Amino acid sequence: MILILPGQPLTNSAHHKQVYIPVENLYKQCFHEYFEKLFGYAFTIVKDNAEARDIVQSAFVKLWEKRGEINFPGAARAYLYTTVYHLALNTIRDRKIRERHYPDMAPVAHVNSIDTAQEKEIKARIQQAIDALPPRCREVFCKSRLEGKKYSTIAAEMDISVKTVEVHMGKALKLLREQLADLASIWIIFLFL
Amino acid sequence: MNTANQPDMTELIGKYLAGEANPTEAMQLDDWLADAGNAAEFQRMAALWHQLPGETSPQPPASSLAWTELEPLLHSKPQRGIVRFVFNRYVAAAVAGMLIILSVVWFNRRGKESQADDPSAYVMQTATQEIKSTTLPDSTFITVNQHSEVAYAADFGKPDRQLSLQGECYFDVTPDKQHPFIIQVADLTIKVVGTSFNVQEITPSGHVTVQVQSGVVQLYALGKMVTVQKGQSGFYHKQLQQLYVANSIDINSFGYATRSFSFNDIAFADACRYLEQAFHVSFMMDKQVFAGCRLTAHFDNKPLSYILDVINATLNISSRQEGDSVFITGNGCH
Repeated sequence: MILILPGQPLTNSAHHKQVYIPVENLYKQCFHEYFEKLFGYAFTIVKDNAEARDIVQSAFVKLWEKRGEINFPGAARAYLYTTVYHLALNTIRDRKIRERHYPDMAPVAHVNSIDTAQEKEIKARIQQAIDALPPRCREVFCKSRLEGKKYSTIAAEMDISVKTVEVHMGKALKLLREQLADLASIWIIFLFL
Repeated sequence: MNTANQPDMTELIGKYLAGEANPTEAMQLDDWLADAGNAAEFQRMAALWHQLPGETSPQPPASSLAWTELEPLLHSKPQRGIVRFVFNRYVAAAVAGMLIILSVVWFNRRGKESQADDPSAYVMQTATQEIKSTTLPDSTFITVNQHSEVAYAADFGKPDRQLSLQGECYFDVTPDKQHPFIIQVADLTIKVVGTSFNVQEITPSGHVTVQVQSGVVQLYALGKMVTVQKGQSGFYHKQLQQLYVANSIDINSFGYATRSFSFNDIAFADACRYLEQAFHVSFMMDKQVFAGCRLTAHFDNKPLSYILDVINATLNISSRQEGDSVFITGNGCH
């Protein structure tokens, strides 16, 4: 608790040792706190590392321009997530336009041709687990995860609600997670180390 | 935590991984991931997801590396603006338009300033001996301490809510994003985002203390800005040319406005000092006798007589108020 009394010079008071937090420092803290989370979020939408990085960078440049108007960290966080979301949707839209006009320039899908025996076994297990899903659930899951369709597109194609798509996807993930519990732990080591 | 018992989280995770989560959902998921158990479960799900054919996995660059890439962009921004400024004649035309508008605004403002001699253009809320509480036209509630003055234009709120302060005042500001609430104290500008806080200008040393009880305020001075959040204090020191933020407030120091005090095992003499400031009274006692007394008590909007009764009972002393003086007698504490 601090006591503020009139006439007490600031130099002698306890405040002198207190931290001075200019907005630039709050901005930097915000960057280190949210950069990876925002990158992860952007990646889920654009599915591309370089684009995800550019999106998050642009969002932070925009935040910098608005640093005097936005309160840190609460409003800044919401601003960043919203900006990343819109930039990611724009990126996808531009990509579609580009692919329509210049189909030759569409990136070639990455094909991993050399599979080790272990990878082949893992892929077979995954295929089995997907095949074992209930039919509607499997259909939703394959359309979303393997064909990259949007929830709204899947809902229209299958004549179900978007909420039902969400439920099927949740169920599929849960069942796959149970089926492939032993593999999941190995993948974490594989992916994150 | 086991997601098997949380169908909603599995759905949200599915949505997130499929790139269908909106910003609110993404933030909700990130909050959920703050728990280490949840984060481990999410990593398993994500690993499974990325292991399926046809997708690359996310590889975030280290945030320190990303920062070194970002930093030059932040500082080169204004320079790029200037280059465009010179070569783009459409921008030049726009600037000419701006100058005209600006000069009109400037002349308007000059017009307003010249009204400063006309007292009807300004409303003064002045407290001399008493403490004055009043409601502003935007229903903001203010408490002006002794020897303090708040002044605002007669057309307060158009376009923004500007006022100036000399001395000390407690503000409970009505939120209104369309009309920013701005307080000028000497050369410090305080911008408010719906909040209650206390501003104290200390003369002659010339420093200003802003203690924020709820909401957020921004302080502008010396070409810098600091944001003061709930529970923090902002300090502006003119001579030292410094703007600080401290992570605490002293709610007892603005008891004159809130009549609320929180004494946690503090020296009785210090409690008396707070009460003296808040109620503008003087405590008369033999300081040696009461030197060992400490007080723990909480008061929420109570009159001085009530507070004195509680202190009498707690410390086994007697107090008597005569005008602006409070006389304390008793055997002290051991």
